[in-house]
Amino acid sequence: MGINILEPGLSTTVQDLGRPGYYHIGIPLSGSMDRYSHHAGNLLVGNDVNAALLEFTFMGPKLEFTRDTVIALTGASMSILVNEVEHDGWQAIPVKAGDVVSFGFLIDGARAYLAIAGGIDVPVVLGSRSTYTLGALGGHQGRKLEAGDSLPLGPPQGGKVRLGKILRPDLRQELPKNVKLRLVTGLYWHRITATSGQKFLADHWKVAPEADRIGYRFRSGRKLEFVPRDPPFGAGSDPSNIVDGCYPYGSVQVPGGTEPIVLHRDAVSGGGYFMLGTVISADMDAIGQLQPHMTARFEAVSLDQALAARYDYFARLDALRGYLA
Amino acid sequence: MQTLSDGMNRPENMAWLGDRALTLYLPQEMSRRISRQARQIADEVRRALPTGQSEAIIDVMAAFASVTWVFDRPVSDPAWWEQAISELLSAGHRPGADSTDSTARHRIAVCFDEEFAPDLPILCEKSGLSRAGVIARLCDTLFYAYMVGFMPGFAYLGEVPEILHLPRRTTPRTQVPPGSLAVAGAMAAIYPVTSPGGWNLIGRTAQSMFDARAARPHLIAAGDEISLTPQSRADYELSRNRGGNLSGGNLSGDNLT
Repeated sequence: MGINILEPGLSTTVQDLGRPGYYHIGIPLSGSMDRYSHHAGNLLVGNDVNAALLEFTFMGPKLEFTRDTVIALTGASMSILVNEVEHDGWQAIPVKAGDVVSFGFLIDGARAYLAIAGGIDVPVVLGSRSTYTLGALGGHQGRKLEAGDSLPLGPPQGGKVRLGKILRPDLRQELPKNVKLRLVTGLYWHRITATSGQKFLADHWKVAPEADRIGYRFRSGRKLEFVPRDPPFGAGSDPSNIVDGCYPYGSVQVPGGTEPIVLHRDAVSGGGYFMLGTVISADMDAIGQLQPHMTARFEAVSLDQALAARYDYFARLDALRGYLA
Repeated sequence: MQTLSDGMNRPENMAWLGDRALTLYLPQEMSRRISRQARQIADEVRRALPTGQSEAIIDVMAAFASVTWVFDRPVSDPAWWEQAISELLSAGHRPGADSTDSTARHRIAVCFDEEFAPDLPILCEKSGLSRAGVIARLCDTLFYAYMVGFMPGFAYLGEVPEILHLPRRTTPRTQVPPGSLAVAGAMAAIYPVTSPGGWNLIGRTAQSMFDARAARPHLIAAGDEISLTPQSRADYELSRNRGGNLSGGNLSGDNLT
């Protein structure tokens, strides 16, 4: 084995980079919500970037290691304790069989990642080790971890383990309290009035308590005003309904026109709500680090700006790889 | 800011959903013809794209009246993709209405026992039909899978006979058991996994709709045809005990093709 779960934390799951390729049968991407932190953790412990690790929300688990290995904590800001001795995140830390690892209180961000040399060796389901709890598949028995669970570790993956090297601050994930989420407005933007669109972009939206791997719901902005229309055949009568289509990751739905939901890694693959726009790929990690009651604003950008941001994001990953090479 | 009318040189029926997905919109209606066209376009484009390009696409999904391609890396030239797809569609690759559909047929046994069909009485009341009448109408219908999505293996099956149309429940149930047969408007579906659900529950099958461990995890694919046959509670329990799983031998028995 490798890890015994002594205390599970609030919501701890096994995730790799996800399970693309199954949208057409209704299976979402899954995988770590903050992909940058995921990459950093795996690179620090010498893993392939796709190795499965633990993602935990707001509160860390308590773990007992049954094998010598190396671990790294990335993502949300909290301390990591090995046998009660406190360490910082964003560095590789050696642990021995019998060591107990726990975590301090959450300081900033929402999701932390614990990468372990060798990766968590749960079975690969449809090409991925990621947990998709709604579909009860992948990860450890398709669910979040519980006390008493044991997770196997894979053999070391041959990458360089950077013991004693702490990641430069500019190469860590930023954890701002107020974010600007860049949005490519979509095909349905014309369905709301021009003033309503301006209000949507001007308002400060507060993260609702219903914010999880499926989607992040925002409230406290003004209700959308729709342009009147005749619903197409087959669509619901609510102005936010459309003929059921595909929802890519990042889609912003506004059911009933009141509370925008940004669909995230475990979202449903399709349905009948219109999409006001799509949050750009480069800003999706930041959503996973938002806590309830934090605020976000949406900023409309062009497709070219969104693509440029995605290139920058890839360049940042390259810089990270370079630093840890 | 980018809208449909921003004057960019883009085929009118295509739109980028953010920086990772391109959607082609067909006429926004629910019809077998349009849904079949969406599926065929999805297949054609995947086949016809040059190697080196098609690898950028990680997901293709055909919905009722749209096709969406998802890219796993930033595309360097979005206009190239719009053009390429648009050319494929105009250069003889547009599937004809007469092209045959190689789809599977499934016969699915459904138990309409009261315990499994809490909303069947509403259906009887609304339609003026008896229980047997409602069941007969459903089992006389050859359903067509318009789209698979929403949940793993969740197939939108149409059309429910008009006399049986019922709106979604105003308050969704928090837990719908897997195998539940449900209707909403013109659509029917069988819930593949335990999930919340707002459709009206009118029966249950022991046949598994989704099994991630099976070589083909989903029973119903978009384009398949489905008929329902009534099953007694005793037969339901028997099928349930036999497993009804996709990896077992049950599939071939329930699959007409």
